Amino acid sequence: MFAKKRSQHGGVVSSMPSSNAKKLLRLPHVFAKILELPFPSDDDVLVEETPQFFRFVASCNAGGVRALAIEILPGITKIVIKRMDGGDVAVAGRHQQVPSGFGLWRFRLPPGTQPEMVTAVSIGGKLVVTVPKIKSRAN
Amino acid sequence: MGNCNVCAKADVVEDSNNNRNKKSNETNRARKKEPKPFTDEPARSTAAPIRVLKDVIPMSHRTRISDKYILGRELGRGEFGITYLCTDRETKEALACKSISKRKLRTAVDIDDVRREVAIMSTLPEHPNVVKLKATYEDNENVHLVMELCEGGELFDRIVARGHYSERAAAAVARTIAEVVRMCHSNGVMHRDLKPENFLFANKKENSALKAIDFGLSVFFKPGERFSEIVGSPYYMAPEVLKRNYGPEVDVWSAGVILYILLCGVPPFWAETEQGVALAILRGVIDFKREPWPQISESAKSLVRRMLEPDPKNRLTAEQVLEHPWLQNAKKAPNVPLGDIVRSRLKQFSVMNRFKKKALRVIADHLSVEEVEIIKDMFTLMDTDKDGRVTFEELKAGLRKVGSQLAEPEIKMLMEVADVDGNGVLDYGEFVAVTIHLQKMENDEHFHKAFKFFDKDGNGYIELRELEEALADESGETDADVLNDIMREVDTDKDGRISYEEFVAMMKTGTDWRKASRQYSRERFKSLSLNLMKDGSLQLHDEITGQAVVV
Repeated sequence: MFAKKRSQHGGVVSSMPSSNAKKLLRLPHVFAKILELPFPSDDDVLVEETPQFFRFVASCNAGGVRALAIEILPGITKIVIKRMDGGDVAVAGRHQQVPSGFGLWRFRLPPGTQPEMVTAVSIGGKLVVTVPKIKSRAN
Repeated sequence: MGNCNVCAKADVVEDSNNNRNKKSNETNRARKKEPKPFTDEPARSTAAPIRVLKDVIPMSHRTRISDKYILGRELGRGEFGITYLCTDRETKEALACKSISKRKLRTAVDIDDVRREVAIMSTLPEHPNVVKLKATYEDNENVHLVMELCEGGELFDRIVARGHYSERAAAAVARTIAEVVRMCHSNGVMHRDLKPENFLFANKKENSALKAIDFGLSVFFKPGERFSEIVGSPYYMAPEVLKRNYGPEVDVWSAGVILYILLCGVPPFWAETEQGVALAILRGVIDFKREPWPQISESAKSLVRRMLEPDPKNRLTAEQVLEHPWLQNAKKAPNVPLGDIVRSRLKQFSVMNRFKKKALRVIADHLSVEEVEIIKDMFTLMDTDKDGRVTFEELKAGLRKVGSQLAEPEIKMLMEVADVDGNGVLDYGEFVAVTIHLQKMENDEHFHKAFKFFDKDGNGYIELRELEEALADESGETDADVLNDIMREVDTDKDGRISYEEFVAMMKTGTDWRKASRQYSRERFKSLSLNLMKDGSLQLHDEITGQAVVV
């Protein structure tokens, strides 16, 4: 009888904290325009800026990829990189995907960029992501 | 503010075509990585390193951090920096050094944020709830901020560990956060990133001071100034930030979100995606129906509502939060332990051997008139159909009536562990036994009387025969295995009988939460007495009216 009660209590105890813990997470900051790449935050990514665009280049073994500009709200846009089938690109050193990008390589895009026009290609073992700038601005 | 002018005069750092800075030296702290050549790219020379702190802070301008400090182990890691243990070479004082890698300063905005963080932390007056900036340094790879050391961990981790806080403990944290907000605002600083991860405890004690540690997104403001830049963290951002038109009231909103989380463990605006969280914030619907909100005082809920007022004009200021009755009367807020403490104690009861449970009932029979009267009245209060037994529903309703903060899973556990004979209801003896266990009586006189009850022949020991006789009274049968298990457990010196010392040791097993238990008992009985007198349904004896129960 006691053994049965103990197992029941164990169930009760484990369900309560875990259900709460799933809902309170560490999440990265929100900015108006943010680029998130499928790499650990400390990875080396080459950032190139020209009058026309920002370009990001990093070693990457993913196959075909595409860039998605997700509108979180009007005025808040996040660029993420997905596989052609829509799945997540595996991030080195992470066995489980952490929700909402904590610990990933992120870049806060300046106001004069157009994240909705982003492009991404994976070529020769490198991921190349290009974010155009707004054309009217002369740098 | 002089430092505002210093900020305004700061040279604009021009964007480099290549924000990446190669490390010329491998430092002990740096992770070793394979170089990643971009052989397809044309060769490019390394740009001059970014100057971040120029003109912001003159102090320690030309010395290196290692001239004065020894950097040690990693203490923590955030989005922009890593914090290391840091020792002053001269004074041996332990400090914390937040090193912000220039590789993370990817835009002019990032650079401005660090400059402003340093300017703000230098401007704010010394305050017991804000971590103190001691010194700043810059080298080719990093900006280093040397601050006082906080070793008690994050508020975030304590919330997750506890599930949620009692009202009194939550009020203490809320007051600290409101005071930080008030002090920032009165010095022209808007924090913009208040969240449990950004508060550290000074040490590991339960009542440790709590300190705000991160001003990386903070900004100077003047009264009436409006901001439109979207910055903050999901769950905690105010709706007007998402609408791009806000002022310092956003910090009170964030503090209100933290208070909601303290009291129930989950954020008020929650969804699976960032978009869902943002929409929930804009919708502004606050759930006070889920457990444990029905048991939380109206005063606490009133404060949460007025801090999470969607219209910033109608939202409380930090000053007004501090004046709210719930914070003003924080010492009167319920401090009944919730969450893990109660569950842990109930688990202890469930594994207690039958001898100890019997002993608790014997103690109950010897309680003073005052002590037993209150427990009997509680039982009578709960036994609404007067059949001499308490059902689960009666227990639940009765606990609500006496102001208990137990959630339904805990009440269910209480019923299961207290119901020794497993018939689904609590009789008076079972009720008293678990009540005494939750109080954890510490009066040795009770132990003496109970021991004498079992020691029929008065020889100073409880023999196996006496134990068998005592337990047979209760269950009507004797199980040799049960008796032997109890003897094996309690008879620590293995002389075949139980001494008084062994008996007391058994009774006191699991007393590491003694202080919490004492506070729990005091609050419980005070709450019961107050509610009974208000209710008018039970008449307490004159001699104990208004008396606290001695625990």
